[in-house]
Amino acid sequence: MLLNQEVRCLNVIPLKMDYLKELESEAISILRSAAFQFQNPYLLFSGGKDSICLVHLAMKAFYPLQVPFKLLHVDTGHNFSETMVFRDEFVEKYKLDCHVQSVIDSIRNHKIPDAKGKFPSRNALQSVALLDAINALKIDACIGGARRDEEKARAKERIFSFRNDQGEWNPIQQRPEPWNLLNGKIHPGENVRVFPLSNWTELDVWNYILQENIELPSLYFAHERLCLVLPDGALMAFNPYMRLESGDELVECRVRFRTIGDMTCTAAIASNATTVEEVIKELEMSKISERGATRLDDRISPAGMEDRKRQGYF
Amino acid sequence: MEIARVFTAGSVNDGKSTLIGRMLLDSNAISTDIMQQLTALNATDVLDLALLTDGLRAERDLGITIDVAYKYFTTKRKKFILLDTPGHKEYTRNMFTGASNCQMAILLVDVTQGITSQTLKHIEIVAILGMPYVIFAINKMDKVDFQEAGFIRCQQDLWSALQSFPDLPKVDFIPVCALDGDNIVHPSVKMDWYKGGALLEAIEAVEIPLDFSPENLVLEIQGLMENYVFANVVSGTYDPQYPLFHKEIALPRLQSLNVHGISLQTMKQGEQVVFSMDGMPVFQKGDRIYADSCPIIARDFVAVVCWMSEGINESKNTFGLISGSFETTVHVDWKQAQIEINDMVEVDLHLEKERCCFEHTLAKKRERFILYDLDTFSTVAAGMIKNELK
Ligand SMILES: Nc1nc2c(ncn2[C@@H]2O[C@H](COP(=O)(O)OP(=O)(O)O)[C@@H](O)[C@H]2O)c(=O)[nH]1
Ligand SMILES: [Mg+2]
Repeated sequence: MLLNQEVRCLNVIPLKMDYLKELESEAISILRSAAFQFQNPYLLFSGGKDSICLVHLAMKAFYPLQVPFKLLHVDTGHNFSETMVFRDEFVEKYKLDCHVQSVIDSIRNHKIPDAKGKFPSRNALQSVALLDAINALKIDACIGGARRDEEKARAKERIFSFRNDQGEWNPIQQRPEPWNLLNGKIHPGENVRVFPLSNWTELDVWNYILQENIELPSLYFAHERLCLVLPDGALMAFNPYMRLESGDELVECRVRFRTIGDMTCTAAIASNATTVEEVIKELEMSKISERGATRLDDRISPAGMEDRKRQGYF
Repeated sequence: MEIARVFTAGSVNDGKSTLIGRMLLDSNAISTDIMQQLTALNATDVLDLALLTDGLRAERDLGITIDVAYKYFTTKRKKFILLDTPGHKEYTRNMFTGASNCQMAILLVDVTQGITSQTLKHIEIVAILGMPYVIFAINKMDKVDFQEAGFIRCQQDLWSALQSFPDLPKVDFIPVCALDGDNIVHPSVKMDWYKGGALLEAIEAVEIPLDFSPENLVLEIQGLMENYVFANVVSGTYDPQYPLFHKEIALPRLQSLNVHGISLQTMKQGEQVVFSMDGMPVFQKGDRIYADSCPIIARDFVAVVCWMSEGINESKNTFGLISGSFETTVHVDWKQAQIEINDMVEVDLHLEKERCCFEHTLAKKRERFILYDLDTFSTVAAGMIKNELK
């Protein structure tokens, strides 16, 4: 009976700001726990809105001192040039120390095949590079911007999420985390993923960006771009890595990105939103979830994210 | 707008996951693409709403909930964090994890099954945690033709079960059908004998008591870097007229720093602060700084503990303890020979390091801790300090 029922417009109501303070306080307390429980924590920085917010929160958490975490960028070699420019300027401006781990190096060192296909995504290969970095730099905690509202396997994850010495997540044997008491005790070789934004939604992040006046890469706002329109309507930004076939037609579209991942697996959305306020308005009306709108890599199987996470993904 | 954290509890198959799915669906909080995924996962044409929260492969394969799922939606009045927790006995630790982070419980009872041993276990957990508000959702009313009799019977049985717990939360009883959505978001037209509101209305309306006392300032030190002390506000607000203390010794004047609009002058419970001072005493992570309260500084305490791992006997008695930023080793006097999974027992704790507690934090059940295994480091128990052992 439900199948025929049309899903009505999402009636997300704009929020007043006080709840953001509670989320901010929770995130700062988690970041401080990470700094004071681990020897060598790194903050995973992708140049996307969530990790930019994380850095902003870390600056607040440790003010007036410098952020006590180094950044780690897992570089697929398929990043948007706007992201790379933003990353370099950001790191320079805030005097951060950013280690870049190259997926291409990991492909070469482990002699694993590179991504193939029409949209050759190195997204899953990022896990290999991340684990290489964890081993090489002896990282005991990776602070990430993942949120529980992004995806159903993520909805299950703890704030301090334990990984064994192979970097694997065991979702059915997670450490209990009552009262958000965070247990960061591990043996050498094991690591913990720390998620300060666990309880934030996409809209919370944008409202926070507005409140705090946080700078973002231009990709998040509407601009003209050459796109390939996929049969299901998804807009893939033209990039040098995609293999065009005869019949493929590139169209100039007005788009923005809701997530910024690998160029080869992140779709754009048609949009006219050029300011943070307009993006928030657009999201309040949107009937499509964040990943549903933009991530080709999630469409493979219902357990796509869980499987990647089990193998060490962010 | 405030954040309200609500969880579902109750026995396996009482309809917890279905109820969360129904609440999200009927509040239009599910996107079209997620809806499509859901329909694709369904074998039959009755939509299995539990698949919205049962996000792990093992959960889908077994048709059960193993671990907590967190879902988010907002109404005009509140930002809700909904937690779907497992009903199985063996996953009670995950139910406890979810419950401990919430201020409201929706405890389901299947009207055709009545109260089970897991219902009672969950009532016990809710009572021990001091949950301020519990709604009993009597579910599957469709199976009794939406008749009042079954509802009344469950209500009476629940009342008698509740009598054995000393501090009762505020409770409500609502007859629902999670499958079809009766009394979840929309009031049911099939149960005109029920005069109350639907479930969503109830959880929206409830005023969550602010667990907050303006006097009794207590800060807990999260850590130290260079000359700065990073702390969170455990309770109270700051009045600069009065001196602050650490281990019963008055402190030199604090130099407060203003971070994101929060300084010692304006801080309140739950906030994160940073300060420095001239002539700083030797502080340690987990130490507490306080104003007028009378501290209880001790090593020996009485506590309630929920054991979350396989059964042990009393000879296993040394653990690591984490309470906020405070960490120490602890010897537990179990006072019984055998401890089984999910047991909730009163024990004596003998801490290696002194802990500073207060009458008001103990009274509000806020001296919470976890125990971890010193070899595997996994979390094996959760507990609350009741009082000093004399
Ligand atoms: N007839 C009926 N069945 C229900 C109702 N709510 C849930 N169920 C069914 O009860 C079974 C268990 O539901 P589920 O939500 O997985 O229970 P949980 O174990 O408490 O999470 C499923 O087959 C549901 O379809 C209801 O209101 N009426
Ligand atoms: Mg369930």
